[in-house]
Amino acid sequence: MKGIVFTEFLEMVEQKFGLETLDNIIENGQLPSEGIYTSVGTYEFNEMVTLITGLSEETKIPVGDLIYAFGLYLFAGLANSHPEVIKNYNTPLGLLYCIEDHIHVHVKKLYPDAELPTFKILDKTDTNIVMVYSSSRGLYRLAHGLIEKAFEHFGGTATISYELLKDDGTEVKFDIVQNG
Amino acid sequence: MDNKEVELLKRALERQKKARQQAEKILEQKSTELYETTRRLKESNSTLENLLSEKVSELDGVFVNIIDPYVVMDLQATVIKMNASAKEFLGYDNTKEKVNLTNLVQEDYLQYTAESFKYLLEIGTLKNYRSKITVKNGDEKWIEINSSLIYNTKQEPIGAQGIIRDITQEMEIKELLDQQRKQLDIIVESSPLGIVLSVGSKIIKSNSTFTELLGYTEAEFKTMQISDFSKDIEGTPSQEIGKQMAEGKIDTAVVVKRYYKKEGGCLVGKTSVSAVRDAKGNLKYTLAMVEDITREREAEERLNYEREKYASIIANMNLGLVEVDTNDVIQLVNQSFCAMSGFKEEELLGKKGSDILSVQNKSVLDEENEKRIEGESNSYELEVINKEGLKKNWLVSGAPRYDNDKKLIGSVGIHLDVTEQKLLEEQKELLVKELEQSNKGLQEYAHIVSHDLKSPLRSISALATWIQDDYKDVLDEAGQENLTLMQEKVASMDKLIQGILEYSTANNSALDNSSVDLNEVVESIKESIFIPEHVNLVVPEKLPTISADRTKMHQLFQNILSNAVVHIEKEVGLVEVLFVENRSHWQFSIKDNGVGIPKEYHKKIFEIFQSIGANERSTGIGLSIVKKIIDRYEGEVWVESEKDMGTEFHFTIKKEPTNLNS
Repeated sequence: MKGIVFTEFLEMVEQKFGLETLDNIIENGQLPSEGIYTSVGTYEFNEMVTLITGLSEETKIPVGDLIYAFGLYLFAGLANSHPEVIKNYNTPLGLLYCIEDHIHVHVKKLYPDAELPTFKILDKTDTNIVMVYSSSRGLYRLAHGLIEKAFEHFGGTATISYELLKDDGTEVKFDIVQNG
Repeated sequence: MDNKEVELLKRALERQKKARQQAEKILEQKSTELYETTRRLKESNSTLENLLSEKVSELDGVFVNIIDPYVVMDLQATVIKMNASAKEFLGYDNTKEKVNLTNLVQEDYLQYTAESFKYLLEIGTLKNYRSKITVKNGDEKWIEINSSLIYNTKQEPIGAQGIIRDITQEMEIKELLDQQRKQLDIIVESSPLGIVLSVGSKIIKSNSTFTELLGYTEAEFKTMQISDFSKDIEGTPSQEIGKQMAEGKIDTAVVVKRYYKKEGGCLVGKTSVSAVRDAKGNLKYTLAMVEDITREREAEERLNYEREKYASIIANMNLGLVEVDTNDVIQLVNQSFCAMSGFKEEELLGKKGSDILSVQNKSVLDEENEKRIEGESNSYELEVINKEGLKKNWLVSGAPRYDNDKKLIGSVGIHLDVTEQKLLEEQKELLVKELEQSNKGLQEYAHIVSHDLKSPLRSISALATWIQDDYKDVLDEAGQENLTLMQEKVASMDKLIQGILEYSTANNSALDNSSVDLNEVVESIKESIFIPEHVNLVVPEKLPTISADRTKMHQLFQNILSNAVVHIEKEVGLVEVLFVENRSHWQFSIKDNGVGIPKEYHKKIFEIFQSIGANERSTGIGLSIVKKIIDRYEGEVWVESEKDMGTEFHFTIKKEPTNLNS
């Protein structure tokens, strides 16, 4: 998993829950990387699982909600580090539509070893898009947060509903309707 | 700040420090990787650059080493660059002298060249420019140029490049082909045969002979079907031929057709049809050659008519006709031959002629047949035995027989039955022989008689002379006179015998013909015969010199003249020798003014022992000798006379006697 995801996650934990909580989940996690992350590195996905699980125990907030919250937080981080990517789009639907064909291509250019989820578009109109998230990571709530923030970024909102096609969350159908 | 917080911050700082170091390490590693990548990129870049420049120089070399002459020129057609092939072909080298291509172009092509150059400048390329040029050594060459403009970096034309192709040979071949096509056209057009090229029954092309034959124009023919103006009369029908040709069964055929002319009338054409096929063997065209055989047809019909005519003549003529092959086997006989031989036609055909007719003189036949094989016509006599077993003589005229290839295939003989003539001839020969013998006997008899008579006569004369001499004193006058009379009678008898001797030899002795001057003859007669004083013998016009026996001419003239001079009782006697030249004969006349001969004697006088009056000197033999000589010279003798009115003897002598020796 890309280092930027870890650094952004630790950033969020420090901001929302304080340095002590952050220190706790790192110290208790027994992480191979000892909690030392850099955005240009690559780390084991299991470490993220350990960190989120630890945070959930520390804060008594369910894991899914934490991931969703991280998604909301992560969009801004990504948009800050790669503004040129967002600049290409005028609407959030356009952005979503191009995740697979454009944004992930850019990601692959910068990080050839990145393991990315796929988004299969089932249907698209001017105000609506139906797509299937699929990833072995099952981080569909992360995607949910990111999508929601994308609409916010362009100054709008959307009604996002999802349906688990597989119980472990590795395949999820999103139905996104732009509001207004 | 409490301890716990310090510891917390320390750990957080430691992690940040370590994260930075980790990041720096990663970045270092990445930059090393980047450096390596850049180096490799540079390397491959320079490799690519080298490759490119090699390709460019190779391309350059392509033009220089190109087999065809390659030339780069400026816009004034002055050569800037030329390859070895161009130097060799044109004979010029732009590195040694200035070469302007326009100067090489022949005058006839200058305008075309100028137009082409203009086109090149406008369009940028020029294809298949063709003209005739004169190269350095003076040779004329046909060339073809494909060229294009060369531009500078500002896309302005600065020159042109072109590849020259030597098409001299190609053009020569083209010219040769043109020439041959013209020659072929001439042959086709001047052919005495009508030539027609067609597809199916449609005419594509026809020559002038054909259009002249039928009177349609070529354009008219193209709108017509062959069946519109022709009709089959002999051979396989045209439709069937067309079908078989299309199916590839036959390639040629000959038919006789009737062609109808535009202006009416028609002609008979022997039509030779040939198939013209494409490479796959499919029928492409039909070529027909039409020969006008109308006249041949007419001639053939006439010939048939003549043949029938002659066949009927041959069948009905009185001469026997036989045709045999080279082995003498009879092929054909006519009715007369059957009648002559007594055999029926079927008995003769297929048999050997000399066998069935039992030819007696086979050697003659073999000999004559031999001659005929050599191509001679001949005629000869054959002895054959007819069916009734009678011997017949046939006169045969034979000629060799040839077939159409001039090969001897036998002979044809015309037979005339000459058995009767032959019999008569034999009889005649027998008579002549008998006659000759009796003539000879007669002559011998006359000779012996005259000789035997002469010797006792001479004795009588001698005895009488002796008596006259010895007893002249004893004998009286009457006795003397009787003895003289006796002498005269003996002399007369001697003359008579001499005459008989001459008469018998006149007919017999061979004629010794030579050039005889009759004036000399008459002159010598004048001197040798007795001419009374009162008689004149004259030759008013000079007599001719003729070809004859001198002695016989002497006898002839002497006998008439001696008669003429002695029978004149007038005071002045005149005897004239005259002549007239006819076409085939000399005619002589001896005219006197004597006593004349009574009409009743005119014929008699030429018979032997006939004489008028009792003249002692006349033996009655002279004129019969005259008659005999004239007969031998195929002449005639006659007399015009009346009593006391004188006599004219006329006789003719053939100028060139034929049967002199008979």
